Amino acid sequence: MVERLCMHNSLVIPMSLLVKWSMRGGLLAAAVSAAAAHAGPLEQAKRLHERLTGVAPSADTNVLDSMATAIAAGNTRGAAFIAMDHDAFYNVTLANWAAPWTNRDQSVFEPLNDYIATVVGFARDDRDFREILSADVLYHAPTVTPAYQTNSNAHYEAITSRGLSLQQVLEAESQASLSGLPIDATAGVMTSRAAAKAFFKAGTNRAQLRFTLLNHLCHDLEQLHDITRAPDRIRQDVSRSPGGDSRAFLNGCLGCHSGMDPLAQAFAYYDYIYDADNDLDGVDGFIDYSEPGESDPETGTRVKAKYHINSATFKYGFVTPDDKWDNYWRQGVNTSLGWSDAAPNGSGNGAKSLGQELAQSEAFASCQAQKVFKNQCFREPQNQRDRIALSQMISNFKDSGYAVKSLFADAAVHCVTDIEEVAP
Amino acid sequence: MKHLTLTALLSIACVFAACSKDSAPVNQINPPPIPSDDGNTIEYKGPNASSADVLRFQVNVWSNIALDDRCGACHIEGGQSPQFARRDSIDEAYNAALTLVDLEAPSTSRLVTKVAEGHNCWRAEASVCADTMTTWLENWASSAGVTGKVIVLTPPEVKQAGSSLPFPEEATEFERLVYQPYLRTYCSECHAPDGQTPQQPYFAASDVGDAYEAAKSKMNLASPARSRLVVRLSEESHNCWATPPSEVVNCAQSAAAMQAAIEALAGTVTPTEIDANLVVSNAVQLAADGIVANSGGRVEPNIIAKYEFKTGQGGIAFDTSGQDPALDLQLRGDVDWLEGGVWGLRFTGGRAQGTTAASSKIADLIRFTGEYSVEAWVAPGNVTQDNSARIVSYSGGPTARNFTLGQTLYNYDFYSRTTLTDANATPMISTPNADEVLQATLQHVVVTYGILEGRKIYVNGELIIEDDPEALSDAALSNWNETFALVLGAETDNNSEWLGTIRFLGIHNRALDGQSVQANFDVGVGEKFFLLFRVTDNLAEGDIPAGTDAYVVFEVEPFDSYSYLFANPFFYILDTAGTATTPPEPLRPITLAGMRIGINGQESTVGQAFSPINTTISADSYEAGVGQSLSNIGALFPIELGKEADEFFLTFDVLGSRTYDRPADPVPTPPTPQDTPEADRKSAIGVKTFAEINANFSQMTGVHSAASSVASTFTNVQQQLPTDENLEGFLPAHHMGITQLAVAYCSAFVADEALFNARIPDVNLAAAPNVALDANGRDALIDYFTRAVVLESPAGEPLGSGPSRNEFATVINQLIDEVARCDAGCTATDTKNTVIAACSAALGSAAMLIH
Repeated sequence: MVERLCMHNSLVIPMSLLVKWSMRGGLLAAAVSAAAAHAGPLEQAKRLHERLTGVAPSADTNVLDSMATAIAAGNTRGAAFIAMDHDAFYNVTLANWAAPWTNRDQSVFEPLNDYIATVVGFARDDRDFREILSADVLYHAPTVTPAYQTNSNAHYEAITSRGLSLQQVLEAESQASLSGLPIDATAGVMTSRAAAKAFFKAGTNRAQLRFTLLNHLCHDLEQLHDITRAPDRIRQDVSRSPGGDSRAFLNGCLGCHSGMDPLAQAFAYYDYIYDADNDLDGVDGFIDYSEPGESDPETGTRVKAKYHINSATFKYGFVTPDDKWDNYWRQGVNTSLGWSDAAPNGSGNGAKSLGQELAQSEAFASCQAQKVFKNQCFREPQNQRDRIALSQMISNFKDSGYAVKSLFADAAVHCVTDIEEVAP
Repeated sequence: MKHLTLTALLSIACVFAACSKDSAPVNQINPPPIPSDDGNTIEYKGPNASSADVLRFQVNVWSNIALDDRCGACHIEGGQSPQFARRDSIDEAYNAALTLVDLEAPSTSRLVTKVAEGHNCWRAEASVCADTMTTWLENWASSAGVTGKVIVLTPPEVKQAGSSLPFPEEATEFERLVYQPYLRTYCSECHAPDGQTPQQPYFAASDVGDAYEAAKSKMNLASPARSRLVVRLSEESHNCWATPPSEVVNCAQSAAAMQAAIEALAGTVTPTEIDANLVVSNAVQLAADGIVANSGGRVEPNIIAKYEFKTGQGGIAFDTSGQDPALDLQLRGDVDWLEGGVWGLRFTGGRAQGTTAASSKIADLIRFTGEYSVEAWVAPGNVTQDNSARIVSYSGGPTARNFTLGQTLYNYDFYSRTTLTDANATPMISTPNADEVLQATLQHVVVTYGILEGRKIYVNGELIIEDDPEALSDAALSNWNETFALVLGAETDNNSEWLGTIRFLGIHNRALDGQSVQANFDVGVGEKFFLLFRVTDNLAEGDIPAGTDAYVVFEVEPFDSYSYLFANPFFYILDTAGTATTPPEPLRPITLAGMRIGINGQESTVGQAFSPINTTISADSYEAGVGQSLSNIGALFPIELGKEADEFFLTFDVLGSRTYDRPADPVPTPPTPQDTPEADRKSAIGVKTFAEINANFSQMTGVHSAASSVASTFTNVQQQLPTDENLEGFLPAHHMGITQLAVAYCSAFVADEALFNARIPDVNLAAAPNVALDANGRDALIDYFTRAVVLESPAGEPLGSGPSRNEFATVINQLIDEVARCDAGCTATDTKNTVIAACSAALGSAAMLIH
């Protein structure tokens, strides 16, 4: 270990000494861990609280006792809801749960943004989480300056730098009124500034679909690969003979693009405008949408030019004329995602209806449950007991009107209980 | 014979222009260069040509064919008829030639087809003579302004689609021959939904039925060697295995075993006729029934070297420019002809090189004009090769060249030597990095140089980059070295190799303008056909005029060595009059939906881009002479047996009065979840992550996380803190970060006297340790942090898996003993240091970290 000196206010303490002493505490913990078994309500309460909020119950409050009382009365789930009143559940657990969904690197170190805040707000308000991909809503903090800006994330960074409680300051607002998008063009977090910066910036807008599938249906394109779907909607920019070998297309590229391209057509009117020369990361960029009557100079329609780029790569490919999307994955192996018969039922125009299509699938509900399970249990379901718990989480999630806190409560209770059951 | 004149439906422009005997040339392109005086030229001494077109014939054709070793050996005055090579009267030679040529379709001219049969061919290959003759006739046609041709569609022989090798209904044989011995054994870690890293397709699923469905598209019973399951092993070395008793992984053996297994599976199948319930067209074959759709239109009047790579075999790529001397290229090393009837060369480390003697014509002819173009259809093998990997080069070694077209990652590089560059033709120009115009796919790239306009690079018809006209200086090509050699795929020393495919190469001694480049791009590369699928038998009587036949017509071409391209289908009725200009009467509404391509008795499992079609053929939509378009896209279908043998047909879900009740796609059953093996199970406890640690420290000390001193430290160290709860991923570096953050919080805690005094009033930070941390103060300090970190039940039992308060307090007490050990010289500063040390050790301990 590198020997470093830590200097604060004239304090000079060898870092190695502090590490040594704090690790001595760790040895103690290890030494006694095996003794833990069949904990009582207080210990369960502590564990529940730490899982849900990341912090132990404060000795300055009676939260621990309240939770223990509820557990002792057989209401462990109720105890979980008491823990979720803690600010850290919103500022820490939920914010870090959502942060990786808002950037291509899936980094958790993403600053607070409108996507994250909206997920936190949905959870706090027990909103139907299926609307996260279609609603005309964003969460912001009206009392915080600077206010929401279409070309800056400063508003949310101010919330962080002031250490404000997201539980306290966030309020729902019409996304259209904040971003200037037409109401019909709003699609929940998919059309948030953060998602636009991450997934509409440059490229071909396929990233928006890919990351939405990954983050909200827990399926990356490899899992959706199906070469038996019709490839008629694959755009011109996809090489049909990569490296001079069309087998790579027929057995590889086609399997994803045949389903992906007709879905990603929903985003044909969106772009993220930024100064590519002086602002490579698009920090000061903003979402752009072709409204009715507008015409892109390169396509001559509302379709953004990025949908027609590299058209000479395969001139017989599909030329996007509008934002009509179709879900080819309703047939074939991806029927297993459990598509809903409710509207839009496989076809529509624009991002909003696509968001509804995705969020109404069984895969969406299941994915939220899987993510929360992993968040609270630190692992994937690994045995029948876990799978039953997961199934119950999904069921309760639906019964609760798709309230995210229902998932966290169930997962935390299961994992605390599961430790009890497997302890020696 | 019924026939059709195509206009709008052709992707290439079909502009009809008569070849007038006395009309002046309609374009301004200069005539071909004067043949070099190498003993192969002939001088005409008869009466002058009586018209401009006769002169065009003389310059472009006669001067090439009238030589003694070519047609001039016989077809001259007093010799064999027709006397199109006679030397006494160019007008009479012209009149004789007119009966032998079709300038709207030069390749179909009798002059071409005759030499293609081997008649008095003066080159090593009859096809080379044919192509060379075609080039001369195209030059004549081009100079005369004939830019298109009439394509006549003729009905193919009526054939029923043949039998096929369908997959067995039951998975039993598949399980025995393919699944158990290979797929489940070697592929299930990934290609199964319950694999460690699930990867579609799930042909190794635990449910053999699901695996069978997924594997069908990866097995080719008609041609097992073309099965994807085999190719992945043989050509891509994907997850090969060791065949016992050997322990060495061997892809060739793995592929052979897989191929043998699929052949064995195919052997269990009895060929069966097409499902009688299907609505099918008649069958056609590309070689036997395809109608050549290439209609000319290329701009190449000044081409001086031309390679179409049509021969497809042998060690020579022939120059068919017709410009003597022929600059044929010797294939050396790893360079192969493309398969599947596709014209081109694949370079995998080798090169194709001409002799320096023959190559000298390039220098001679280009110096004559002072400008040139290099035009190629290429498919780079990847976008990672760099250092100007040589695609086409006219050079003398690694540091000396007249021109080079090369690749550096996503860029095309163009070196062009002039009197203003060095011998290596630097500085060169490249396509811009950010544009990434070079892609690993078939592209049309043209580089041009002219003294007045400098260098230009066109890709797919678009001008990508050019020299700044303002910066051009007087330059000349006078320093070109005629001893260099033309080489493809590598440098002349076999280094700087380029991996990829070249489908066409042309060198012109004029700088093609943008319009000409676009025209050549639009024409495309390779041969194209029309395939006519007869569907008459599926229509009700009276749907179309009596005696006519209805067809669905596709443009089809071998796309590369592995696939056919089917594009732009249209519905057409061949009428009895043969004029195709009269609307068919009657034409009742005909529903056409769910169109699929069948190959060798079965619908292709992949590529069915026309299956979503759902339209109605109607008199309102049908245009006489054109038909009714069904789609404007194209799709690829795998080659199975090759261009000569593959038999195609169409199927329909609905066509006219006939329908096919297509069964729904099979839906795989969800896999049965498997328990994680005990040894692989994750710990039920974990470490707190970065934001949780930060929140804990804030709660334990009362210092707000937004306080500047702790916020800045958190920002600095947050990525050094744990990001994952996994205990096994916890590293010493994580602990260093935790301690740094703990010190920041504890320092802020001690610095905030009001906060500190409110929480630990019994410790006087203004006093020396012996006073501040006397028994009372020390107890207060230890008690505070112990309670902050360790929760206990009222009975004094620790909550969770951490230490008890007593154990924790003992450790902290020992720390204070060690840090605060000092003589009478200790001051209040030492007290603060001791408090910060105790605080940091407590906060940063595992008692906080583990949950």
